[in-house]
Amino acid sequence: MSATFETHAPREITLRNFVYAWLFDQTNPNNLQREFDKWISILILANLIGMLAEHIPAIYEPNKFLFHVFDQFSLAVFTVEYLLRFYVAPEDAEFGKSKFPRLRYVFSPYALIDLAAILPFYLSSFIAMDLRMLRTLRLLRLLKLFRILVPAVQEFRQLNQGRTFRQQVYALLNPTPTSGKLQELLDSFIVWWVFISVMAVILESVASIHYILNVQFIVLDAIAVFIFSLEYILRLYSCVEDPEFKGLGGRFEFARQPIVIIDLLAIVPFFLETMLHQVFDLRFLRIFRLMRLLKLTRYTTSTGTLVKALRREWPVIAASTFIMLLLVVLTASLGFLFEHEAQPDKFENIPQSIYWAVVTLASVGYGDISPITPVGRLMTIVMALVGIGIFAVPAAILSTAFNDQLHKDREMMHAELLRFMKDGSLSDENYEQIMREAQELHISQEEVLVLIERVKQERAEMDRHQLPITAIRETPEIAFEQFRIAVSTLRQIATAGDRKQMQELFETPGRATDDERAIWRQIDRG
Amino acid sequence: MNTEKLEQPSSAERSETNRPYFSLSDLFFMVIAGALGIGIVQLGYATWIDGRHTESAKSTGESIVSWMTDAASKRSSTGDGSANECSGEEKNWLDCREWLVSSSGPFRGLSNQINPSNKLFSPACDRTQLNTLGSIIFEKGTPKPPDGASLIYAPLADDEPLGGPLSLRLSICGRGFSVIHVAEFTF
Repeated sequence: MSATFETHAPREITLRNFVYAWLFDQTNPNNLQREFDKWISILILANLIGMLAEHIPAIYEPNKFLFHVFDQFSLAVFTVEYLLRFYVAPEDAEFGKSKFPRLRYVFSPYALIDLAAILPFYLSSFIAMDLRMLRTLRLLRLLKLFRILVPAVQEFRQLNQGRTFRQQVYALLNPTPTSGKLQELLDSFIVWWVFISVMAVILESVASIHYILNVQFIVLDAIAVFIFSLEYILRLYSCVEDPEFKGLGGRFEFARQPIVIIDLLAIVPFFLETMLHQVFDLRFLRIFRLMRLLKLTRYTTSTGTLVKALRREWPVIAASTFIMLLLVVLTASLGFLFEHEAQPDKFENIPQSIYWAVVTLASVGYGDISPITPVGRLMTIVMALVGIGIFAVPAAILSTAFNDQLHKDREMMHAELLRFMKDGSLSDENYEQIMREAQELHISQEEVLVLIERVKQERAEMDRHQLPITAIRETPEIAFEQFRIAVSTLRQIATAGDRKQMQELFETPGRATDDERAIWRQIDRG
Repeated sequence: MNTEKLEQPSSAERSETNRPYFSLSDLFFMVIAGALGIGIVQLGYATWIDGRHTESAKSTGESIVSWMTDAASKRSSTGDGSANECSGEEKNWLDCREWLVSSSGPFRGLSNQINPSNKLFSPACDRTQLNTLGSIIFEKGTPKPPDGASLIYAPLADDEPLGGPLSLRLSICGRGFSVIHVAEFTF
């Protein structure tokens, strides 16, 4: 990867090109530009949330000072960003060619948007402005999102030129080679809405908060359902672009996927509750909106890893579960046998004793039901000791299997790296793919770099023992020596093998090429 | 590792190269998506309107609580307080309630905020009686034995005398016939 870093390193290091290279250069995948953009976007969205919250007196009035501090902080960050961009404008290829690069930058659309985001506040220091007007003007900060959105849309359009509408929708919703940054932004947008709507559901359960923010929760839920419903219908529409789900049957097959069922369950409560609230008491459905959290499983491989581990270890887990069930029934029956007469209200029947057995064997021990007879207590001691071991088995199996699965996934990545680094180097494209996969596998960048280094060493070791292709390509002396070694090896083979049989095999039509046959004859003669 | 999707051949390279940019089936799906979007906006708007009505009902409830608390404090500080249908040994809750919304009362012309044709006051939020939606519910709290610290609330009877202080709870029968507690106070 050192090659990659070197490629993007500025030729002449000055503070200005250093700032530009590390914060604003979009062509360098290893700088902080993406992180910088990400945090600016988060700040813009936080501003939006703040602006909305300002209109709720119950939130705004007691926290006026905090709102003011946040506004000042945002303004300071946006001002610094504007000034930095102004400072590094000559480094930007777009403005650098101009005679007056900074002037050109000031009048560029993005710079005007940036200025519009901060100017109203500074103007208000000189001109008396209505507070409501000032608040409204702060909405202009949202326009700053265009700085991120427009290039992503342009990239997406470029990558998807000549493709059909459906293919473009598919690329927008799924990670494909033509998806680009726009798909990442859409994913982030959906993830944010999942978090917002789940937070809303959790806060709604607090009566005092729900009382104050009832209408806001309604609006949030409607927006979330709108977004998730469109996402659902568009996924259903474009799924046929995936070779696994071709045709109408493919769409049904797709709709039956667990993650797609989760998508549906995330929106259904809204429709049922809105349309049938007069007829049925469907308030319990609100809690099902928490299912939206499961939508996040699309963006992480952890649940997939767990499912794979469960599937792999299913026979062992099933066997230990069976023993666990046996132990529960046995303990419950013995508990009923020894304690029923002494405590007929607590050990009323075996099903009731099963509750006690599970609580005891799982070491939970609520204490609401406990044995009082000496035999019952003795039996509980034995069963509890056995239960500790038996109940721990499935957990241990699952934990080991999960760990193994992660290990296997990492090994697969290692193999993939070896494949990518056939010639000893890693292209930018492959590096990005590896980093993406590492992110899914929760492997840090440092770990990946260590792995890349290890693969490099392994590859060099392999080259040392086999053919050092890179060295052969670069040094004729080594190539010459290698050729001699190869000829010597061929002579050894010819001498060690049965000459007559070898001759017959070489003469058999289709077994060897003319060149190979000629080399054999040459060596055989020599 | 989720590499299958990344490595699959691009869709353009698959067999459907002769497919138009936007076909009839695309239009069909977009119409469905559009209809769904419009439907959600409409449902969301209806829910929002309901929410606004509920807020309005809550604020009406808060005004009533405020008036009653104020009246109760005046009564306790000046003895009998101003003469109205809500104070005095011989007055009962029905008299007070009717007076509150009568032409001489402080809440004249008040109607159900969710649906004006529904009941304004009701003893409970009852799904089997649709006209209780949006109604104001008064409940009387009685100390719960044996500690007496917490209160058990039951519907305030029409003939409840208003001679002494009453522990009351005002609620609203909200959307989906869910009870929204507005305040607990002494009258």
